[in-house]
Amino acid sequence: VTMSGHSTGQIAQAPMSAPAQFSDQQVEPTSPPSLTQQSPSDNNQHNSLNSLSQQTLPQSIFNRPPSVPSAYVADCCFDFLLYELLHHAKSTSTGVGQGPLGGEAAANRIQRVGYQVGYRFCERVGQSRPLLGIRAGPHSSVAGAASATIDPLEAVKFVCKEFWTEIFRKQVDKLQTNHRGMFVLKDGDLRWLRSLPEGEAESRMAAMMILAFPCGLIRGALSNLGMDVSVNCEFLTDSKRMGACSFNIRMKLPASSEGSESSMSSLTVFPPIKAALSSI
Amino acid sequence: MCALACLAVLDRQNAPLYVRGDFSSFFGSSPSFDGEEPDGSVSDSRGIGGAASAEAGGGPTPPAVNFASLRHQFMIHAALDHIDEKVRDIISLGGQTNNNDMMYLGFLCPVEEMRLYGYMTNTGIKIIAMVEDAAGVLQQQREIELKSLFSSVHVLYAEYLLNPFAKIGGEIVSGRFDEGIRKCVYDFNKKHNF
Repeated sequence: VTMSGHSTGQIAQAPMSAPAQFSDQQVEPTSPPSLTQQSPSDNNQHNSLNSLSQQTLPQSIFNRPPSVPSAYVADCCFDFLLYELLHHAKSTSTGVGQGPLGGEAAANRIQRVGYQVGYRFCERVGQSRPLLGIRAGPHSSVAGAASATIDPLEAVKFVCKEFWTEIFRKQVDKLQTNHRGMFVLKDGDLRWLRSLPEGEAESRMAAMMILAFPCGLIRGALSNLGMDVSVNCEFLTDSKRMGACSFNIRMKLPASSEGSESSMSSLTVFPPIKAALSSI
Repeated sequence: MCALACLAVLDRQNAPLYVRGDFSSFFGSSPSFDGEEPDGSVSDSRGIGGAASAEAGGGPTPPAVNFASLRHQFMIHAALDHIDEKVRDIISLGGQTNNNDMMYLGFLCPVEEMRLYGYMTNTGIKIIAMVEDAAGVLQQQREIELKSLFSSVHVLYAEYLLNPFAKIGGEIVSGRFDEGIRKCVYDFNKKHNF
C-alpha cells in the first residue's frame, strides 16, 4: 500500500485496472470527503484541504513506468486498513485467552504480514538507489557473489533513511549500534501511534500490536538485503508524545553456506563447472 | 536473427527465477503461453527440443515462454563466475561511488558468438543478457541501449514482486512480467537487428 500523497481528507476510489499493482495504486481524488469526521487525526488535515490548490503534490523517488496511471490515495486509508487488520488478527488468532497472552499470536501474525510487505517494498525502494557498499563475506573464496554481503550498517542506514522516508515521510530519529550486530532505531513520532488515547493501560497493549507491523517491515526489508535479523520493539511513550518507540535489531549468526551450493545445480544438468572455469 | 538472444533473472543464491530465450520467434508468429513447469528438469528436456525447433526456423509448435535452450543456460552459468569477479572488484575498490550506473556491471565475457552483460541490484538480484556479437560501433550502440533495458527489467521485477501473491524467492510466473519483457526485448531487437 502506498504511503505517498499528501494528507487530504478526501477518500478516493481505486481503479480496478491493475490489481497486481497493490502497492502502487494512486487515484485522482473524486468523491467528496465523507470519512473525515470519524477520526480525530483528520481534523488537522481538513485545513490542508484549503491549501490544496497551492500545494504541489510530492514527487516520489520512483520512476513511474508510463503504463501506470498516476493518482493518489489518502494516508488515512492505510491507517484504517492497519487498524482493521489488528482487529481481524485479534479476533481470528486462537490464543490462550482473550487477555494479553492472546495478543501475542495476533502480534506474530501482524509481524508476518509486515515481513511480506517490507520484503517487497524494499525491492521497490532500492530500485533507484546505487549499489550499497558491499564487503566480502566469510566464505568469499569459492562462493563469490553469493556470499558478498551488504555491509550491515549500510543496510540499516538504508532502512532508516530511504525506506522509512517512503513510508512515514521522515527518517528514523536516532540510530545506535554496538558494531557487533545490534542496532537500536528510535522514532519519536510514529504516525500510527499518534491517535492512541493517552495514559491508558490498553494503549500499551494496542501499541505493542501496532508496533508489530513496523517490526515486520524492518525484518522483511533487511532480509531482502541479505541480513537475517530478529527485531523487537518497545513502546517508549511518556504520555506527552504517544508516538515514541524503539526497535532493537539483532543479527542472527550466519549458518553454514552449504545451502547456497545446492541451488546452483538447478540451472544446468552439467556437474558444477564453476570451479574449473575459475581456475582458468 | 535477433540481437538479444536470452535474458535471465537470478536471485541472491544464483537460483534462476526467470530464464527466457525465445525472442527470435517474435519476428514471426506470436508466442503461445504454454503451461509453466516449475520443475527445472522438465524445462531442460524442453530445451533440447526447443533448440532444434528454433534452428528449424520456428517449427510447428511455438516454444513455451519461460524456458531457454540448454546451450543458453550453460552460457549463463558460465557468466556467473565473471559476475563474482566484478563484484569482488567493487569490494576491493573500497565500496561505493555515488554513481547511478553502479548496478550495471557491463560486459562479462564472450561465449562462442555471444557476449554476456550483467546487472546486479542491491537485493542481490542479477540480470544477465546475452547479445550477439557485432562489429565496433554497432556494439557500442547496443551497450548504451542495454543499460536502459536492464533498468526496465529491474522495474518490471520490482513491480512483479509487489504482488502479494508472488512467492518470495520463487520462480517468476506472471503474464504481465512476461509481456513486459517481451515488449522490452522486442523494442531492443527492432532497433539493433541487422
